[in-house]
Amino acid sequence: MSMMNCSAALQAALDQAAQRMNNLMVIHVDPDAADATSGRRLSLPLSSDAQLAFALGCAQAGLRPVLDLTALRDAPQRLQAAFAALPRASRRPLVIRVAARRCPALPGVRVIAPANARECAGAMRFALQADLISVIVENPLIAYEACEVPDEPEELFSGAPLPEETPPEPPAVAPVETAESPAEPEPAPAPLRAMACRIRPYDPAGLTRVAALLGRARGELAALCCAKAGRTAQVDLETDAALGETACLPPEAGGARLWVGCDRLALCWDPGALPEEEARSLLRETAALLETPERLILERDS
Amino acid sequence: MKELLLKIRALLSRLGESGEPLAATAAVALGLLEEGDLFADGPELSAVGDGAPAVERVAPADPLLAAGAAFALQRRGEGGVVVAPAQDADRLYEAIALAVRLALPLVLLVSCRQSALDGLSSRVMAADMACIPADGRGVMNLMPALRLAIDKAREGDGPTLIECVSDQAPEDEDTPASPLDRLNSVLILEGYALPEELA
Repeated sequence: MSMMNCSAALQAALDQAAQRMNNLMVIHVDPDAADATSGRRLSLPLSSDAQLAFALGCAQAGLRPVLDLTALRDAPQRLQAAFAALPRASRRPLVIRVAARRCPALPGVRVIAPANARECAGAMRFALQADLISVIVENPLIAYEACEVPDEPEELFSGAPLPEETPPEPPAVAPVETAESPAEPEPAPAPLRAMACRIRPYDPAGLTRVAALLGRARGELAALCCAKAGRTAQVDLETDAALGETACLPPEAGGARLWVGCDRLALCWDPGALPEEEARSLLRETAALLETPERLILERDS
Repeated sequence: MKELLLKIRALLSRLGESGEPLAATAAVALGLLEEGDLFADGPELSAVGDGAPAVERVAPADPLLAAGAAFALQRRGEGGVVVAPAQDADRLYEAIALAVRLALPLVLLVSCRQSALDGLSSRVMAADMACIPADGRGVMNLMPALRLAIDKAREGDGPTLIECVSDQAPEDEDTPASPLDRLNSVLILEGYALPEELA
């Protein structure tokens, strides 16, 4: 196990893959870079939407390209326009990295939104083995959050047995677990594959209503939920994307951060800025409105 | 030479049915390509070789896709050339800029009118890319231009653009306008085939 942030975890996964894949090539797009090839890395200057077609051509001729668009602020929008104009016949396995808090719907493309460094490493390894185009959306909000990442690829996909598919249950608010409580320690984060199998479809119409409700008090979370609804309905349900996104709540919530996952809802809050009862109430209220999380976690901001 | 011309004739008779202006150029290019080379066929790249699927049509390809494929061939270091029919558009110039900077083994075929020849040549040559104009309906005129471009790419000397003039008038009145008829007359004159065989 090594402690690393998302960027380091992705780079480590790429380095490991490069040792066993001779055809791996990282195409890095940098607005300030001149064309240069060094080892497995090609730097291209920014030029319209040339990079995607170029990378697909590489993939068609036998390379395994990883297109790094993290330097571009509007990469998801560029991708949406480029994929709309791209014939299906020219699509080949390709991994695209973008840095964004949300990604628009990309039909026919696997979109993976990892929630921590461990999932970033798993997502990269998973995408490199997949036989279709995968987009890894790196959330800048969690870019510098470090966590333990297994050194062995197999460990990323090991862990709890995968749950069986069950029909959606009526919404119920689970009791709040306090991370400080010595009786029940916080369970380890679920591995990527397990999380992917636990995805349940969000109801877009319901989420729109929820987002509208939340919008009165939690504007940013409402925007995130709306984006999530659109993406879930059009992209994530036909892929194995792991859902999860952090929302920074407005100042009246005491600078708390809410993590919305497919199976749990976690609120990280500062007890000095927001009383515990209010934090519990905020978490319960959000869980009831979202109607999806099975587990609520309340943890103190260190 | 006889085998090559007969092979090009077979390709031309198959590709030329659609009336595509680049049919003759594509037929000559396919005749000159070897196993391991790639031909851009619309949104896909077709491998060239004995066991490879035959190219059935000539559709303009994305020049950036072809540039990416040429980069992959260059990286793999196994030789190989990519030939791509393209259209005179913005993406062509982006592909040219990339191909020149990376010295990619790429040959682009662009159909143009006689009146637009100078404009295209000047833009391509401004990017330091070799540009060869050729009569797009004469197989015997296209052959040296394409052979030069493919050999140049194969030796690692960078990309070339072939300007295929599609509306050039024949040099004399007796020369037929159709590329297939022109090639048939060459085959008969050189004694490679009898008129009955080509009917």
